[in-house]
Amino acid sequence: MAAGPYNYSYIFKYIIIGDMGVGKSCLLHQFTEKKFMADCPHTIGVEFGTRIIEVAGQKIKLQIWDTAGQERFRAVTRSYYRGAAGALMVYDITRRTTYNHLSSWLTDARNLTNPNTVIFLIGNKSDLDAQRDVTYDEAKQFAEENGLMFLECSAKTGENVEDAFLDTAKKIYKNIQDGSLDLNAAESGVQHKPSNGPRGANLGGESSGNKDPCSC
Amino acid sequence: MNSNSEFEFLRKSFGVLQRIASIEFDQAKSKWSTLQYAERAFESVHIGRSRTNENKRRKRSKSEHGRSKYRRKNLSTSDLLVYSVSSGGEVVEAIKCAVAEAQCSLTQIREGKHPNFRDCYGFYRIDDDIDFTFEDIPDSLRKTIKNCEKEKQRFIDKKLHKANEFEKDWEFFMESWNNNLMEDRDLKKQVRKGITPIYRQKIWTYCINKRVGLKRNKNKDYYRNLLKRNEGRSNPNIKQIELDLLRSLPNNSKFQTFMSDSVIKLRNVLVAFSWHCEQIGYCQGLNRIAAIALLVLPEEDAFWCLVAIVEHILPKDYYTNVLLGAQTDQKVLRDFIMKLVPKVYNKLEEKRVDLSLFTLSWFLAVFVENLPVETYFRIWDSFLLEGDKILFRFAIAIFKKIEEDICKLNENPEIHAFMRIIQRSLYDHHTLADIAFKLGPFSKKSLANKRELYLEETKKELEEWKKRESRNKTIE
Repeated sequence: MAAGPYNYSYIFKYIIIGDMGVGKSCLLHQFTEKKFMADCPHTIGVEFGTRIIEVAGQKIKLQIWDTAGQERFRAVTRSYYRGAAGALMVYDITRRTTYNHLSSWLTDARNLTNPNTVIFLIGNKSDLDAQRDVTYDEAKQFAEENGLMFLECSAKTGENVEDAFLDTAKKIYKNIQDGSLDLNAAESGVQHKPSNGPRGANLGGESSGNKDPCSC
Repeated sequence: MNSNSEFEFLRKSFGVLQRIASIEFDQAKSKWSTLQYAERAFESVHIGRSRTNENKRRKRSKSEHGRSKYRRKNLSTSDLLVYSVSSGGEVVEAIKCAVAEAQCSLTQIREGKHPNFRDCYGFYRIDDDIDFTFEDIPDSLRKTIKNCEKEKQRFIDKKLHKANEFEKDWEFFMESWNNNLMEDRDLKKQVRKGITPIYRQKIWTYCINKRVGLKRNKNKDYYRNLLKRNEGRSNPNIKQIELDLLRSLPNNSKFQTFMSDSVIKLRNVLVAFSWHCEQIGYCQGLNRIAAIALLVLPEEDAFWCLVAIVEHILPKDYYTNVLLGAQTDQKVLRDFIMKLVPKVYNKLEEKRVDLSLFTLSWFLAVFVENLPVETYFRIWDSFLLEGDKILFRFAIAIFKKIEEDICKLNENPEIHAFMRIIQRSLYDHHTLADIAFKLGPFSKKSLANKRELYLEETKKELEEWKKRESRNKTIE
């Protein structure tokens, strides 16, 4: 079956990680549907979302993998990190334990993705400032120490959600432009789509790990 | 209020009622709302009137006369309006109430929370697939999905039409069953048709007690004691359980607030289970299973249903710390798909899509929240009676049903999006069950062999992860 030319020139794969109940699926839903889902079911394994965005005049399709947060699911979700160009690492500003676990999430993110994967730290539930348990400054410092981008967001009001997803994409795009992200490398997490050319396929956590040059 | 402004008010009020009827709903729903709201407004008018009038009897008979007239002639709302105006000034308050109620209902309906849109188990009848984005789906497959939707309507119509027949069939069966004239083999055949909600509790209880009856009888107060004995003891699972209580069945009216009866029971069952089986404690997926059990069974039976599923039906280690059993079964399923639905297998291999991305959740939650409600209830019926083979039968059947569609997909993201949408559109559980039960005999032995084989493979993989992890730690 012949498919028409693509209306986007890149696909970036994102993963969203973090403790259970921090609002990963709600962030995804807010970003893709532009509304808050109050009665969001928890995720078992993984869910997917996509949205086409524009960076520097280029249409980019974000393919977002939203992972289960419960500890024992990490044995499964670890295999989803592979080939992610961006990782959104989420904690809940009203629950300190979710912040304390960040270093372990970060270790996974570093070890299971490639060195150029952009990691963005999100402090979710910024609308619940009265119940705040983690200050902005300490999280900011944690982010700086570890070279992460950082924003406090609210999946409920939508505050900063757009920015978190877009800034990650901008950074990835910049890495492509200045050559630090090699599209031909295996598992770069980026697929280039010339508008009517053949397709590359180095996307997806399922790849065997063999070198798989992109067709661009 | 003078009669002119009253007339104006009534006109507006009925305008609201009419809008509710015409704008918000498809034909069936609007029919319901027109009738209900018009009739309710109408009734309110007469209740209002009879209260202010001393001669109640006369008025009541007039009211009844009015209603039957309305029914007989199927009057339009504008006729009602004229009738109301001619019936006197006191109607205004009543109409106001009716309109306020109607507007409130309208909000509820918009949010999918109107009581009249619930099924017998409390699930909201609103379509949960409204906000699917089709961006990723090729045009050719949008048609498939739309057809599924149409199928749904046809299916519902057909079901309503045949509901009586179905219930009679079950009634007839239960008569013989109660008189011990039936064997388990007959029950299996009957249950494969799906159980009517009327007898579901009875059959499920039978299935559960067949598995855990001995355990239960040894210690009749086991469940209550479990909760009592451990009251106030610290439990590492409680936090996680609390987080999931309202996220278990978000589309069901019985699980919306912490105060609701079902949520309190769900908490009890999950906490009791975490004490009963400390090796598992609490794992996501158990909450959905327990919630479904609670929709059909009383609290204590629901607990035993969870025990029956986790400890008797499913293999060991399904929900333990690395989900070993559940991970193994994904490989077993992959093996079955390779042999029984090779086209799908090849496509997924070619596009390097891991089957377990979709199926892990099917197995861990016995399809709850993955398929349409009636479809997974149908699966549960046979699952409780026949056991874990049913998971494989239906998982394979799903892929068989959508085989041709999957083969049309060319992209990895397309496959993800299509799978996500199509599984929620599988309303036609008759066809699905047909495929599932026509797969031929499913021997326990071959399943056990496959499990043994892939258990080793899974263990090896997990070992490698561990090694890799500890290597990384030493580097740090």
